[in-house]
Order: sequence, then structure tokens, then C-alpha cells
Amino acid sequence: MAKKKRGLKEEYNLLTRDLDWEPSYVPFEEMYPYVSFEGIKIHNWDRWEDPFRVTVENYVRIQAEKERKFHAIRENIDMMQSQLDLTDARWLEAMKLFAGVAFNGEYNAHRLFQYVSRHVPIPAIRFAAFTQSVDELRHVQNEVLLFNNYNKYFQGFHSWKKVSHRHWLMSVIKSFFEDAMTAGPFEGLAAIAFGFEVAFTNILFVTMGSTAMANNDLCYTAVGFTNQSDESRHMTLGMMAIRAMLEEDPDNAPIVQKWLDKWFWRSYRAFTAIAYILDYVAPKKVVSWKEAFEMYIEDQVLNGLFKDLEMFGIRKPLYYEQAIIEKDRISHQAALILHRVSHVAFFHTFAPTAEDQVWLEEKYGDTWRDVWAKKWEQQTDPNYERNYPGLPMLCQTCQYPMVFAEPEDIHKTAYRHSEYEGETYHFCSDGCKTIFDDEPDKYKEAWIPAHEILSGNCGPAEDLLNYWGIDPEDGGDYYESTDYKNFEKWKKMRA
Amino acid sequence: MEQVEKRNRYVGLDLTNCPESEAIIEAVEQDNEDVKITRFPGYVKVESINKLVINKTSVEECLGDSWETEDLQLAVTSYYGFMADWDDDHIVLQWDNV
Repeated sequence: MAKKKRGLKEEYNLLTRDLDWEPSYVPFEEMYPYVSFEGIKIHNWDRWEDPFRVTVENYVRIQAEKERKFHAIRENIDMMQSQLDLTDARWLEAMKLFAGVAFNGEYNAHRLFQYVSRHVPIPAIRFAAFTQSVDELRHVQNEVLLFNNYNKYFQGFHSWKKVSHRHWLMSVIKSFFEDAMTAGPFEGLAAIAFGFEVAFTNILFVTMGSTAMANNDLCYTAVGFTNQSDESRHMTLGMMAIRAMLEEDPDNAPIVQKWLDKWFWRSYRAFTAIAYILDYVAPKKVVSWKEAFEMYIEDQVLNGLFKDLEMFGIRKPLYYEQAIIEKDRISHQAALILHRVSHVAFFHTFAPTAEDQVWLEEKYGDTWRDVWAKKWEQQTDPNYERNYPGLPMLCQTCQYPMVFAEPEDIHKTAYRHSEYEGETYHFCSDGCKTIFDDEPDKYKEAWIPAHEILSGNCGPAEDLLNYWGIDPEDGGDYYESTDYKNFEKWKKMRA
Repeated sequence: MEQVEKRNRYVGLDLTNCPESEAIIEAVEQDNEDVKITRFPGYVKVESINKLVINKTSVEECLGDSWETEDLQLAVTSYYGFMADWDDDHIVLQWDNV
């Protein structure tokens, strides 16, 4: 007689939670050495479930199907030389930035999930974090294949691994993940699952994926959507973990609040480059940073998730008002500084074209006319020195160049500083200063590129480009680049 | 800020363009009130105020084929709201503090 098929819930419980065991050879605290130092109190480890109810069987089946779909698209693109269908090769300047970020972002996310999976003693979280660590490996591998295809035709993709580890701008994302991986396991989980995945990866993979499609980059679209479909599961884990901590003990609320404050701001700053990509790099633009921020952050996170968390005494993350004020600003601030550092970058930059400016004015209205259009006028004045002398000053916490304005005065650059053990540390914002002040012993150790170069830790100064993994031709102005000239030539040949 | 809080509070799904997504959207429209659909290049946002239910049988009717709730993972790129329930016959996405 055929056995009755088990339901999803029963199957899930049998194959995940019920496989967990109580250690008998060693005490619980020895098996989970990091479980108590963060102060999180959990009374019932077993009652939490992953709403996706992922088991090994359905994980493997669904992921295999996603892979099959993705590689069919990718191979087709490779065969059809679809890079010539792009609206303009300028779009690939965004992909170069993404290539620099990917190894740190995805591979370190893989390591972080391994760490969470090993050290958080909630079976549902351990299993979900394990599958997610495998997801992140899939992402980085698929992205490398994507860069491999671009690298056959375009500059700037040849040494993404070196760039990722060493380039001064990439210390933004590197410091983000190293910060999360050196926190306790519960904080590490809050960092990746809440800060990164519930909130901001939507803009990276969905909005940017959609923009990629509008620019006929089907390959990034495919990568973005397939990655973010895994991130949906990761978001669920993040929300479940936060609720679990809040519901298990009221004493957890202030600890969780501090993490939400910190990782909201940390993630927000880390994603500044995406604002630049949406508003400036994309030749055909779909949704502005401001609109994406309103949709994914204001509506879904601040007005959505945080209103539910109010039930547990959680308020919106610290300085969220400043992020709202900045939605008119950060893409322009990022574009202006990147334009000035393209001689030390692994991607080309450019001033917005007449067509770009029409769109920017439509999306940013008065702020565009009164502030940013004027800054671009100055920046492109032939009497004005385009390149920044040396490297720009970086914030000690987020490691972004210090280019953000005072919340109340758009014309004045914000500078914050803290004195600690006789040294002065500089910050781009109240958010970054608050994070430092809470754990100065951690952030005083930050690997600040300019300091390390001067200390001789990056090889001889004249060989810096090589140390970073860049060829002098990788940077400079897009419209004077070989990439631009080649693309125009290839398109003509095909026509 | 105050402005943010005055907006309608939706839960929703971002679905990639594929036949399954269209069937899911049709099923969601049938089984929920105040459904809002916004199309972007490559994906569709389907939203409903505070709560959204996906029923397996409705999706199967719209698709004209069998469909398992776990197959949602192949169509969904992102979502928001809490996954309040995910069983063999339905999926419920909602905010609790309403």
C-alpha cells in the first residue's frame, strides 16, 4: 500500500527541527561558545520555523530549476554576442563597479551565513542559514561567469578579484562585511538579513535588474532576479530572527534596537553606489534612486516592517529622517566625487549628457536646478581641475569619501569627529559617528586605504595602480575611452 | 516622517515576467480586495492592503496546470510583509499590527 504523502509542514519539521539534538559529550555552552555574550535571551529554541519550510529535497529541486533557467539565458547571450544589443556600453561601467563589490559582497555573505549557521542554536535558523550560505556561493559563481563574458570585450573586468580585495573604494563593502563577521552571531544575522537583505538588496537586484533589462543587459537581469529570488528566503529568515529575539524576551529589545539602528545606517551608506548607477550610469533610466528609496525603504521597511515591530517596543532606526532628506542628494554627491577620482578608478566616469540632464531635472526638480546642475557646470568647466589631488578623505566608519551635506544645509559638507585615546577620527554623518562612539575599540582599527598607503602597506606608491589591479586605461572619461570607441565601431560593423 | 506614515500600508510580491507569475497575479486579484498591480521592465509588483492570500487551486485554475505553493519561489524575486502561513494549499502574507 502506498504511503500517504506527508504535508509541507510535517516534512519540514521532520527534516530540519527534529534532526537537531541536545549535546551530551560537551556542555551546551561549549558547543555554542558565542551564544551568551551578546546578551540575547532565548527560552524556547525549538518553536521557531522558517516560513519557507525549506528542506534539502525542495531546496535542491528549486535551486536546480533556477540554475537551469539562468544558464540557458547566459549561454544564449554568449552565443548571440548580445553585448552589442546594449543601449550603450556606458551601462557596463555599472557592471564594473558591481564586479568590484561582488566578491566582498557575495563571498563574504557566504562566510557570514556559515558563521551564523554554526553559532546560533535555533535549528530553524541554523538550517536556513546553511542553505543561504550555499546560495551566496551560487551568486558569486554566476556573477564571475557574467564578468568573464564582459571581459572578452571590455576594459575594467580583468582583475576584479584584486580590485575587490585591494582597491581603495572597495574598502566600503569590505569593511561592511568584516564588521558583520567580527560581531556576535545574532548581530551578524541582523546585519546581513535585516540591513542588507530585507531593506537594500531589493534596489540592487530588483530595481537595478529592471534597469538592466531596459538597457538590454539580459544577463544582469537574469543574475539580479535569480539572486533576489534567494534573497526572498533570506529576508524571511531576517524577519523571523528579529521577531524571535523580540518575542522571546523583552530584555532583547534594546539590544536588537541598537543593531537595527547600526545596520540600517551601515547598509544605507554601503548602497550609495547603487544610487549613482540608477541615476547616472544607466543610459536608459527607469526608476530614480529617490523613487526606489520611497518604494523599498519608506513604504516597505519604515512604514511596513517597523510599524509591526512597534508592538515589541521597537522604533524606526536612528537617523532614518536623514536618509529621507538625503534621497534628493546622494546619487549626485556620489557621481560628482566619482567623476573626480576616475584616474584612480577601475571604471570610466562622465558628466551627465544633455539627455541625462533632462531626466535628472524631471526626477529631482528644484534640487537639480538649484544645486546639482550648478555643481556639474563647475565640475565640467575647462578651467577647473577635474581630478582630485590624491585620495579623498574617507569616513572612519563607512569608508565613503566625505561628500555628504549637512541634513539642514545642502550647501555645507557635513564633518563630524570624535576624540579617542588622543587620536581624532572623522565621520561623514551623525549615523557613522554614533556607530564609532558605541564601539571605538573596534572602529579605531579600521583599514583606511590612504593611511595604509602612507604606512607602506600597499607597496611602492608609483606602483599603486598595479597593486589595486587597474590598468591606466580602465579609468578616465567614458566618452574618450577605448570601450566607447570599440562599442561604436562594433555596432556600425554589425549594422 | 509623518508623510510616510499616512500612506496606505501594503504587503506585496515582486514577480518576474513568466506565465506562472501571470497566473499568480490573476489568482491574487480574484481572492483579494484592493489589489494594485504595477509593471516594470522585467517584473511586476502585485500588492494588497495589509494582507494578501495566494490559493493553490486559484493559481492552478488560472494557469490551467498543476502548481505547488513551493513553486512560488521560482516566480518571486522579492516580497514584503510577514509570511504568516505557507502550507500545501495557500500562502498568506500580512502585517500583524493593523
